[in-house]
Amino acid sequence: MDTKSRKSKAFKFWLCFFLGINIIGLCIIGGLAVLSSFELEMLGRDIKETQRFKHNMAVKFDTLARYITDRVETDNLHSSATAENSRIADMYLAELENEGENLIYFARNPKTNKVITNSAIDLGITTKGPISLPEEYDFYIYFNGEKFIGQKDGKPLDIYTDREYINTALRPYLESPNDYVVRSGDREIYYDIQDCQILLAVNKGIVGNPYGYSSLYDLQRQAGVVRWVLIGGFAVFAIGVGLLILSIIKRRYIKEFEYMLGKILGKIFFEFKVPVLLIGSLIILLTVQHFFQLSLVYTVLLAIASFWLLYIIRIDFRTNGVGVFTNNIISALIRKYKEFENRHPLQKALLLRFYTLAGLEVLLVVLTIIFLLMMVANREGSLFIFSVVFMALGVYLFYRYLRRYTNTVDDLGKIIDQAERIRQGDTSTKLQLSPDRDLFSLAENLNTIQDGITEAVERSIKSERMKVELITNISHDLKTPLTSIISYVDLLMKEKELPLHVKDYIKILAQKSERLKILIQDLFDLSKVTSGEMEFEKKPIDLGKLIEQTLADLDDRISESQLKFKVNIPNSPVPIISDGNKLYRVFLNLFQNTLKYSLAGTRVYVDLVTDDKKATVTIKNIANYEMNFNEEEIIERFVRGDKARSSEGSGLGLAIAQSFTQSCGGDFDIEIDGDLFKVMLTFDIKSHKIIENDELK
Amino acid sequence: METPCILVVDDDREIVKAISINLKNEGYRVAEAYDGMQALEAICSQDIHLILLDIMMPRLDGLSATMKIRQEKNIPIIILSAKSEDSDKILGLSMGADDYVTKPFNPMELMARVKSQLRRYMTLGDVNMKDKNNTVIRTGRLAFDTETRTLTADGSPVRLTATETKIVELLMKNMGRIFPAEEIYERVWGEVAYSVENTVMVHIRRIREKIEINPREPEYLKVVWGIGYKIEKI
Repeated sequence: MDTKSRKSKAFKFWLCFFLGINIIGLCIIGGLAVLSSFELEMLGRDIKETQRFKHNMAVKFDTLARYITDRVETDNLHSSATAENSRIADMYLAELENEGENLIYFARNPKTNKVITNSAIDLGITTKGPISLPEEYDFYIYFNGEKFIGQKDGKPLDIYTDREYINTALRPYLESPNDYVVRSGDREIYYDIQDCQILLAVNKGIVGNPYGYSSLYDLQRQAGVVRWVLIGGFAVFAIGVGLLILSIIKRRYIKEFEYMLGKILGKIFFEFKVPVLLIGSLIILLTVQHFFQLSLVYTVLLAIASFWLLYIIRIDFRTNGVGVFTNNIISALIRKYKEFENRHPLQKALLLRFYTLAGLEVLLVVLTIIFLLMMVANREGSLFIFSVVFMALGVYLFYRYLRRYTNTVDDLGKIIDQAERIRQGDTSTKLQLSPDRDLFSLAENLNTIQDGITEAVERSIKSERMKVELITNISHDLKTPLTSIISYVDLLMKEKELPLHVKDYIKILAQKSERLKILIQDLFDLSKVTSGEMEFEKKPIDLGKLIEQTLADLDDRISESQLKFKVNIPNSPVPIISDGNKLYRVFLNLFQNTLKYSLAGTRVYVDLVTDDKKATVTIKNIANYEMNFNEEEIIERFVRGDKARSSEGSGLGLAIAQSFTQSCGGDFDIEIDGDLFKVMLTFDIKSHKIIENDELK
Repeated sequence: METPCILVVDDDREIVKAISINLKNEGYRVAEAYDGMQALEAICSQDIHLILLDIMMPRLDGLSATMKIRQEKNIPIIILSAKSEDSDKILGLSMGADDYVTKPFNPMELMARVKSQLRRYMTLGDVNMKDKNNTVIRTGRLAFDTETRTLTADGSPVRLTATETKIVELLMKNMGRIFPAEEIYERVWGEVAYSVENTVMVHIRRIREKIEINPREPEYLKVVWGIGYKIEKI
C-alpha cells in the first residue's frame, strides 16, 4: 500500500517534470515567434502612442492631403476628375467616414477652396491661430499650412522629431510640406499642401461604429487581444516553470520514477531498442538539418520529441549500464535454458548443456550452409548476411559454453583447495563463488560445514572452560569442609582417654579424609590437564635419570614390598624435552600402581630402550587380580563405572599418567595380556648437546 | 619473653577454632578474626606476633589484608588457602606473605611452620649479629656456617652425619646449582660413581627429614626430576 502510493506519488511528480519541460519548451519557442512579430509593441501602451496608430494617422493624413490637392493616387494619375478617380476618392473618404465619432477630420485648400470635413462645427481653422476642438477629442494632428502641430492629452506632440512619425507616410510632408516629389515607378508625383489646413482629431474613447468599419476601433480591439494572448502565454509559461520547480524540489521522487522507468526499460530487449534508437536519431538529425525549413510548430514538436528520446536513452544507460546491450534475445534464451537446467541435478545439467550446445551448433552449421547454397543458387548476395549471422551465433554460443566450462573447472580447483584447507583446520577462510556458478551450492555447503565446525569448536572450548571453572570451584568448596574434618580428626587423635575401638574409628576417619584430599587434588589436576589449562614447563631432561630418581624416591616402599624390580636403563643419558615435575608424577603413579596391584613375589620389569629417534619406557607386572576389562576401560574406568576400583588412592592414577604423558609430548599405551599388565611410554629423543649445555648452566 | 600471640583469620569459624585449640595446646596465646577487616582491627588493638590468614573472606580478602598489614608491620604472615595452584602461591608470597599453606593442611605441619616463622621472627636480631664474620651461608630458614661446618634451621642446630654435612656443604656453597647424583657422589665420597642414584637419594631423603618441615614437599633440598639435586635459594 505504502509502496504503491509512493509509486503513484513518484509518477505524479515526474508528470509535473514532463509537463513542465514540454510547456516551457513550447512557450519559449512560441514566445520567440511572438516576440518577432509586431504586436508586442501594443502591449501595455496607450493605443495612441503605438506605431500602428501613428501609421494609421499618417495614412489618413496622406489620404486627406492627396484628396485636397486632387492627387488621388490611381493607375491613371493625371486623368483627374474622371469617374474612376472620384470613385476611389469616395472610397477613401468613406473609410474616413466609417471612423464615425472616433475621428474628426478637416481639410481645406485655399487655392481651390476645397473643403472636406465631417465636423458640423467651426473648429477655428480659418485663422492661423490655435484650433478649438470638442473636449472629448484629446488627440489631434494639425497642419496649419506651414507646419505640423499636434497634441495628446493636452500635451504638445513634437511630430518632427518622433521617429515613429518620420517612418510613416507622413515623411514626405514632414521633410518638405510643399513641392515634394514622390517617385512611383517612372512617374513623379508632386504634392503641394502649402497653405492647406489638414486636421485629424481622435476621440478619447474609441468605440465601434455600427454603420461601418472603423480602423481605429479595430486597432484598439487588436491591442486588447494581443494583451490577453500574451498574458495567457505568460500564465502558461509560469505554470510550466512552476511545475518544473516543483519537480526539481521533489527530485527524489523524480529519481525514483526514473529508476522505475529504467527498470522497465531494462526489461526490453536490445534488439527492440535498436530500431527505436535509429529512428530517434534520424528524427534528431532531420530536426537539426531542417530547422529553418520546417514550420515552426513542427520544429518545436521535433525538438521536444528528441529531447525526450535523449532523456529516455540516458535513463536507460544510467539504470542498466551494460545491461542495455547484454539484455538481448540470445541472453534471454540462455537464461531460460539455465532455468530449465537448474531443475536438474548438476551432473545431468552438465551433460544436458553439452548435448544442447552440440545440437544447436549442428543446426546453425546446417542453416549457414543452406543459406550459402541458396545464395549461390539464387545469385542473391543479401542471403550472405543470414549465413554470417548464423555463423556468428554459433561462434558466440560456443564461446559462452567454453567460458562457463572454464569457470566450472576453475571453481572445482578452488573447492578442492578449500576442502584441503578445511581438513587442515582452517575454518575462517570462506570460499565465495558467484551464485550463478555451477558449483555455487557445493561451495555454500562447504562454508556451512566450516561454520558448523567453528561453532562446535567454540562450544566445546567454552564447555571445557566452564568444566574447569566448575571443578576449580567444587574442589575449593570441598577443600574447606575437608580442612575442618582433618583438623578435628587430628584433635580427636590427640585425645588420650578414648576407648580403643573409638581410636580405631578415628584412625579410619583420618585415612579416609586423607584419601579424599588426594582424590580432590587428582580430580582437579586431571580436569585441568585434559582441558589444556595446565601449564607445562618443557626443558631438556634425562629420562633415564628421572626414572632412577623416581625409583630411588620410592626405594623404601619397593624394598618393603615383596616384589623384585628389574630395572634396565642405559648408562648413557636419554635426552628428551619435557616437564620433569609432571613426568615424575607419571612415573610415581605408575610405580605406585605397580606396588599396589602386583602379585606378591613376582618381578616388575622396568626397561628403557632407545633408538635414534625414540625412547620407550616399558613397565611390566603381573596383576594380583583378574583384569576383566580392556585397555581403554582401565584408564577411563572412573568415568565409565568402575570394574576394579581400589580401596586406596583416587583411582585416577592411570588417567592422570596418560594425560600428563600426552601433554609432556609422549605416547601412552597399555597392553593387557592375561595377567600381564604392560605400560609403554614413548618420547622423542632430542639433541644431546642441548642437554649438556643446559646442565652446565 | 612473653608468650607469642597468634592471630587466626578465617571466615570458617570451625577451622579457626580447631587451629586455636592446636595453637593453645602448643602454648601460644590466640586472637581470632573472621574477615580481613576484623584482622586489621585486631592487629591495631593487640600485640600480634604471627598471623594465619585465609584468602577468600568477606569484606576484605586475605591478599588485600596482607598488603595493608605489610604497609606498617613486619609480622610473619602464613596464608592458609584452598587455592593450591602454583600461581596462587606465587601471588600470595609476592604480596608479602612469609609462607603459604594449602587447605586441607596437616595440623602438625601447620604447627611446625608456625614455630619456624616465630623463631625466625623473634630471634632475627641475634641471627643478624652472627652474620658479621661472613662465614654463614643463608637461605630462608637455613644457615650454614662454613667455618664450623654446622647447619642451623630457624636458629637451632641440625645434627647431620659426616656424609650429610659434606652433601649440605656442597649444595649450600653452590646454592641454586643442580648437581647430578654422579657429581655429588664423586665429590662427597671421592669415588668413581656407578649406579649411585639410590645411594645419593637415601642421603638426600635423610637430610630432608632433618631440615624440612614437610619432607614430602621439600622447600629447600629439591629433586630436579630428570637432572639432579639442588638447594633452593630463598
